[in-house]
Amino acid sequence: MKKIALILLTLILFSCEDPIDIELDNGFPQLVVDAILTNELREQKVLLSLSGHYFNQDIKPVTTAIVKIIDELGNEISLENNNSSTYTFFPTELPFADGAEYKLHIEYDNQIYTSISRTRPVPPIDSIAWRKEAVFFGDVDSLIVAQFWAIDLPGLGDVYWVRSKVNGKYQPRTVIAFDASTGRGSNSDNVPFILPVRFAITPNSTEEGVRLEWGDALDVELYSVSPEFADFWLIMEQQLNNAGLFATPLTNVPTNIKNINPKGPKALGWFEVHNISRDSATISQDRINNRE
Amino acid sequence: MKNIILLLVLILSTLYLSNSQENKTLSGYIKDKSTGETLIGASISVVELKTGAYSNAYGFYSISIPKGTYTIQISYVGYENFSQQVTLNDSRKIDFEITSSSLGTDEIIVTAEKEDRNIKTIEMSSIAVNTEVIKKMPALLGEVDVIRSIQLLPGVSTVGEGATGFNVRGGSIDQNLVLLDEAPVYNSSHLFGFFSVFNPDAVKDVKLIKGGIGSEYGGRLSSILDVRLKEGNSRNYNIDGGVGAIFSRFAVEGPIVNDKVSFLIAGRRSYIDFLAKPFLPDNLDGSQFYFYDLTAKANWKIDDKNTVFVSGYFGRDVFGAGFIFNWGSQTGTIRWNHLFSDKLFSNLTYYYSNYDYVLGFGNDDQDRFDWNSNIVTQSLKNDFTYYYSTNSIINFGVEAIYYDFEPGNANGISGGISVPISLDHRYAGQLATYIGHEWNATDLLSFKYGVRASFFSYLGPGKYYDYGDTTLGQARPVLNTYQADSWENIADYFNLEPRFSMNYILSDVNSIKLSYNRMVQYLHLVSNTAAATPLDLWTPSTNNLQPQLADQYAIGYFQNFKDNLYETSVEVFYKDLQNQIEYRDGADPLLNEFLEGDFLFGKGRAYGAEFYIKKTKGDFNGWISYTLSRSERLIEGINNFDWFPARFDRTHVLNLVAFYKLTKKWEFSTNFTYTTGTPATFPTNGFFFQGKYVPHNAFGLRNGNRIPAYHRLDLSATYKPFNKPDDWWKGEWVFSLYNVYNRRNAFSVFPELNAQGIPQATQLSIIGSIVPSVSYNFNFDVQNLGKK
Repeated sequence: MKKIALILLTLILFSCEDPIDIELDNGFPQLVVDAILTNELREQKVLLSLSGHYFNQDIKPVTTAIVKIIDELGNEISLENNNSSTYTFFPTELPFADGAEYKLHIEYDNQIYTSISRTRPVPPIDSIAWRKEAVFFGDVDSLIVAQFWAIDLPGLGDVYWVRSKVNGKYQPRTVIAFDASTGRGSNSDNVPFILPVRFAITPNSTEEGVRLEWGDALDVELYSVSPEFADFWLIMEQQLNNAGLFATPLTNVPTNIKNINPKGPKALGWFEVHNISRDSATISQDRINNRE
Repeated sequence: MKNIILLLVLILSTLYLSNSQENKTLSGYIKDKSTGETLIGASISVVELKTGAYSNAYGFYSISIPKGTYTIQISYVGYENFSQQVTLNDSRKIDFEITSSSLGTDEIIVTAEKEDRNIKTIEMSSIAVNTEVIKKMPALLGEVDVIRSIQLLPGVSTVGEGATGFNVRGGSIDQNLVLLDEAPVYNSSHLFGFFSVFNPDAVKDVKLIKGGIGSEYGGRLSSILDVRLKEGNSRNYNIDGGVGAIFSRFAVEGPIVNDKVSFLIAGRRSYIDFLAKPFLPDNLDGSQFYFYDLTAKANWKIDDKNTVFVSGYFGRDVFGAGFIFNWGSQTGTIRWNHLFSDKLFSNLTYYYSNYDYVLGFGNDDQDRFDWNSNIVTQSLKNDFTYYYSTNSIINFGVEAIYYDFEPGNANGISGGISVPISLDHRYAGQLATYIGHEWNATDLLSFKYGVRASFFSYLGPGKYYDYGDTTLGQARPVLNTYQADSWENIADYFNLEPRFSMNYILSDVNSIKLSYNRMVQYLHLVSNTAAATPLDLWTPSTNNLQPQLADQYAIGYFQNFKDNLYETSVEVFYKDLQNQIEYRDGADPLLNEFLEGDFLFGKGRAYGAEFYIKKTKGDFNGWISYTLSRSERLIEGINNFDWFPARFDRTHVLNLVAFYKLTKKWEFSTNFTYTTGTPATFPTNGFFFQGKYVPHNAFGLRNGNRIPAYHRLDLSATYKPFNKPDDWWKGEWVFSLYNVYNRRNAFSVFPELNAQGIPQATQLSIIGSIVPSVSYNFNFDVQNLGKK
């Protein structure tokens, strides 16, 4: 919608965008937690930093915190950081049980911050498919468009997060699916993800300048997420693409990180344990559809 | 309801008893001599008695005076003064026809009203705008526009260039009742907000009421924009048209049976798509972007007592390029004017109004997404005016409205599997009855007071929900789901809306006016974007959504100078708004069955002062308006539950409009606008999450900052090569410059990363350059064809 309007306005009228100088109020640094953990035999990371001035980006790493994951029985996993802002552990068996709750525990600057997340089920990815398609805007006539196939799990209320990597690099575009659709309360249960969800693994070439080429490696990740994470992520994305006639007011992204002292300084960011399905494909010209 | 009828009977009988003198009634219509078009708000006075009246919205007047011979004077600005001796031995019907002075004199007249009407009548916070004036104002791309014109009046503003709708005295855009021949128009804009749906060739009268709203109006909190269409020339055929940079207009009007049946048809279509075609890449060939509208009206004067009017509007904006996106309104009105007596005027109206939009994506039958949504309103109402005496007029009436909302009828086909994701229709009914009394207590003191009783019912069939509490920021959970049967009352609301105005005339040239009104609004247009979008959803009041209420208090001082050459006024207002709604952050407004769980509730307040100076006559005339105001909201969950400025809040709004007639052939006009920038929320800090740089306001404030001020100068020149009144073809060229000094006014300012990934503030200007244009308007008078 926003993009349609912008394109039309640029095309028809006289709109333009210019950088301008504005003065920002002085804020203060806050602890930022970036803890996206997946239930896999891969290195799991929690990133800690302090927010900085918006323009100066004077963001400081947090290297002196204690970071632990605690399960429902009180078993603890301590994360190591080797004097950096990345706190890690490498599981030797699947770290998270289905449907179980996990607590993130952080001690920093005489404060204790915690957060709770629960794993949810995720369906497998059936396949990745691609083809050349004509496009209406931009400097090329056609683009390679990829999609993935998967079926929403039975029962309403599932929420998923879809990300993709082109040649090992996350592309900025992601999508949140509520059951098989992009809208909450849309009652699309136990059917293949609808088109806008499936196509979201294709880089947005007009906005990000990345397009799929023959021979590219495409990785797709399908995460199970909580409805709260969906809110968090969608609000965050909205802040990052908030231009135009139909912009929404800038708002603070929510957080699920809590200081156990309600009067103490507040943290930012998110902690979530995900089940994840992965698939990958090489975008080959010979075989335009790898669906079996 | 019973009490109100009782009250009505009581008032009527008291009045009847007090009327001991035997009066005769002079009544009829006031019309334009050349076109037969009735004139709204023309003044008719009885010179000997120093009394008089104004014609109503259908041109009807009624005066009750003792037997005798009188000089009747009719005045209406833009028309030659008219006077006639009338002997009244018995009640008489006389239609007066007056001559437009625009043919004889060279003045541009900037008011639609009698010269000292602003002092003498009880109306305040209300402005009638002459369509001739609207046509002379400098306009974007040379296209004059009703809504862009009223944005230059005191107390009216907009959230930005190209934004849909307008804001009146700190109210949101959905709080304006926009009426086209009495049918409500839900989206009054073409091309988002650049042009309005009103074709100036078809419009007869535009009146904006910001305060002191009479009991005959209801349903919105902040203003009434009452647009009335021409009836069509009942004497001869006439064709008006224009060729402009962005669209062309064409209007035909004329008699079917002389002085009995006449019609008007007016159409417009934009041709940006044709003009842009050569510049579009081949693969855009199939793209569509245009809008059109058709306005039509016919009336039939059956006899002296009965007239029937049928009018309609149909318009659409169409966009498409690999997707479908279009929206539009249709309205239809049938009205029957009936005179029960020469003192009791009745108008029965049925109207139908439909606003809908359509969206579609996808390129094959296996994968598609189609979606439409609409709101249909139908109403039957009967309004009565009882002209008890020249000092006492009573209005009363009843209205029934039925609403049918279709929030989203969607069908997705995913991999060949159909996924119907439609939402249920929602239904509502509304009944209202009102009575109002306009009373000139003495020559100097007059009152208008009344009450409107409204009853609203959210009706079945359909599902409805109870929602539980939530922690701040999260959607409220559904506790219970219920199923309502057809016509079942899910939620009922009853409200009494008192209205009061007073005018105290201090002298011939100045007066003080006061007003209070309570307004109730049972519909809500909730929007979370800077400018409203065509997709914003109208929703009725429900079991979870209380009706909006507003109480407005206003006081005004009016003074004229130099024999009414200069009109000035100062008005101060305070408005208190209840049950205001915002979306929570992250709400999903589209296709969301549980949208009510995403609402945040609170209240609002707006206050300010409006200053207005108008030079009404002469070769050089125009007006200056200045508004100092504030509009704030207090919503739980936003801005730490503290008052914050509404997104359309503008502290200062200054408008200057001037017209200058240089010669018979050349006329010039200009306007200058200065407004404070709209509020914005800027970040203080930033942080990284999953590689994304996220802006953050450490204090959690909403709208604590402002974007740069908006100012703009426009110029326009009109050249009329022919100016003999009996030419059959009259043409004029309009040259205009919009945004003369080429300012890039900010519509919004937002933080983002530039191409190098460095954070910066970016300003979006909707019109970032000077816009020159030429248009040609013509009038083809069939009657004069063949005359030399």
